[in-house]
Amino acid sequence: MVEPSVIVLVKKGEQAAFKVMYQSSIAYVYAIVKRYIPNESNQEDIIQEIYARLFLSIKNYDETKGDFKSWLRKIVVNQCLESYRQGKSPKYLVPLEVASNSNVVEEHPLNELSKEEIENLLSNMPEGYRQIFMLVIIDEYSHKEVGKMLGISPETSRSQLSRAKNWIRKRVSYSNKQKIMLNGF
Amino acid sequence: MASDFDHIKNKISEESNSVPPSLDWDGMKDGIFQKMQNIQEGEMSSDNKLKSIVLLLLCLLTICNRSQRTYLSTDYPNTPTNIIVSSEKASSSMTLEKNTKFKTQQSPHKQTSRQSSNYNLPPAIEQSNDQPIFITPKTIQNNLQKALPKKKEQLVPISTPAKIISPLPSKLFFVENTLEEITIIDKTISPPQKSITVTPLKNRIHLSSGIGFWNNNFGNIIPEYASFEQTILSYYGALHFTSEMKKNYFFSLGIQYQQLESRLDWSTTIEDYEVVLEDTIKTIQNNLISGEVQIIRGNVTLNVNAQRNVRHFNKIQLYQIPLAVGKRWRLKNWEAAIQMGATLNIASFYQGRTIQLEQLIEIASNTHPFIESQWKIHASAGGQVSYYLNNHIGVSANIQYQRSLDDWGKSSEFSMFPSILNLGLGMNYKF
Repeated sequence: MVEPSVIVLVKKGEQAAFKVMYQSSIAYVYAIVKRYIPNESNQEDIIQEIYARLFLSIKNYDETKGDFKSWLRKIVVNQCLESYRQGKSPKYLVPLEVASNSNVVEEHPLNELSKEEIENLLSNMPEGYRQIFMLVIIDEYSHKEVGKMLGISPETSRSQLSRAKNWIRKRVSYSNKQKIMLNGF
Repeated sequence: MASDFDHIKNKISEESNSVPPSLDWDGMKDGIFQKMQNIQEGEMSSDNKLKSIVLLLLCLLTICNRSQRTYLSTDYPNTPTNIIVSSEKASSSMTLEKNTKFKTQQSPHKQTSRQSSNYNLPPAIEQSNDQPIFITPKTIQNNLQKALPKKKEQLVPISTPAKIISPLPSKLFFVENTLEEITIIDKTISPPQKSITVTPLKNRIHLSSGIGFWNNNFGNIIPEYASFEQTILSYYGALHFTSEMKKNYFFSLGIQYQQLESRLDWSTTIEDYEVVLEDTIKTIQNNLISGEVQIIRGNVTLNVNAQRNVRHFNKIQLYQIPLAVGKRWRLKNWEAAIQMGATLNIASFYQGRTIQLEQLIEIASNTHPFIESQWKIHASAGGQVSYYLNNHIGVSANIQYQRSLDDWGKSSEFSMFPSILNLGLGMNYKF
């Protein structure tokens, strides 16, 4: 994604290398930010914050300990979560009676969803579910790590993930039924 | 089903090639550099704060060390008398110290200068320093002749007993002096069997109370009830016992009562709320023939939509056992202490009303529908500044911060790690 020579130049503080690094990584960064922060008005500010931190902390990056992409992903995810903590994205409320609903699980053809449909689905997901879904399913953090990041217990993370999955299944089922009904008529 | 989510993962992990034009480098670089500057400034200011705190602590430590030295020197009033002038004719005696190594280094100087000033000793005697003074008998004779006042009645004999706290044997020149003849006796004085020690009062009982500020510290998920309840000013009272160990370190154990208060503000709409209007005009009957108007009165029942507003003050009562270790510094009558440790909630009681499934419920027991605070451990840190009115009694101002290490959330749906900041005043008793 980013050439090692560019990383070296950025470490030296070459302004031109900043631009190259930005241009070669922005698509990746934007894709992650969009997943965590669906609100477009906040995305620009958060991306600026991410790159500011990236350029300042790149001297700590050690290529022998991991590839640049995963290191960058960690910065991006942490910054997105930080924006939740700082209240740039509002905290969400999950009423107990809603959260404690156990949903009926049915089999649904999630495999048939296109990328746009998935993005649309995730952008409508309650923020609490989305964070945990992204962290565990997409970014492959363990429940223990998620617990530490969000200040919740691993059990809560697990139960939230299970509810997030059920939420997706329900939504897909609902939209499929609608599709079937529309096709039928 | 896991494969379905793998599909979502694969799809969502695909890099997006379409980046909005607003995110191009030219549009973003100013913002990025500005943020870099802000972050650096923030880090510098926090570095400066840290440096100032370290400097302040160093200054405090230095002051405390000095004050401790002063404390030691003033605590041992019987510092060795270096020079005692002995003269049969003048009724005074003088002892010259040859080898002085005392616990307090400054006091012999003070003592020497104080005593020498009584006799106006010449500079040769007054200039005492840490090195042993070797004075020949002739010099002593000359000096004494110069130093001793001419009139005998001006002499004030010094009879302060010389008590030596040094464990080392001191070799003194004992000088028996007359104006005509001086003989020097080399005499070894063995130290006292027991050195003088001042035992500071090591134990304290500390009673304090004050106000507290607390915060639920919910995780990312805020439970339903919490959106109607907000924390308000709270109270605490505590009784601590502290015992001093070595080097001014101490441990503390106590019992603390903590009352955490919150206010519930809740409102709901009640549909078909029945309102009875008593003795109301129900009908007016107009008799067209007689022209008589008849008014029929009675109770009228109306069903309306009503707004119900509830405000209630809730409290959580905690009985805690705080255990801590700390360090103490003294400066004259002042004492400062810091301490860190843990606090265990041994009992808790709840009183008030809360919301469950959009219904108002009453709580008045040692159980709460959503939180569990008993047997939870809090990390705690605190500080105290005391002023002692006498050897035993002092007044103090205290600050204490606690944060729960255990989750108070009963349900796995949310987590809460409450923190409490207590500010109080108290009294100390030293014994």
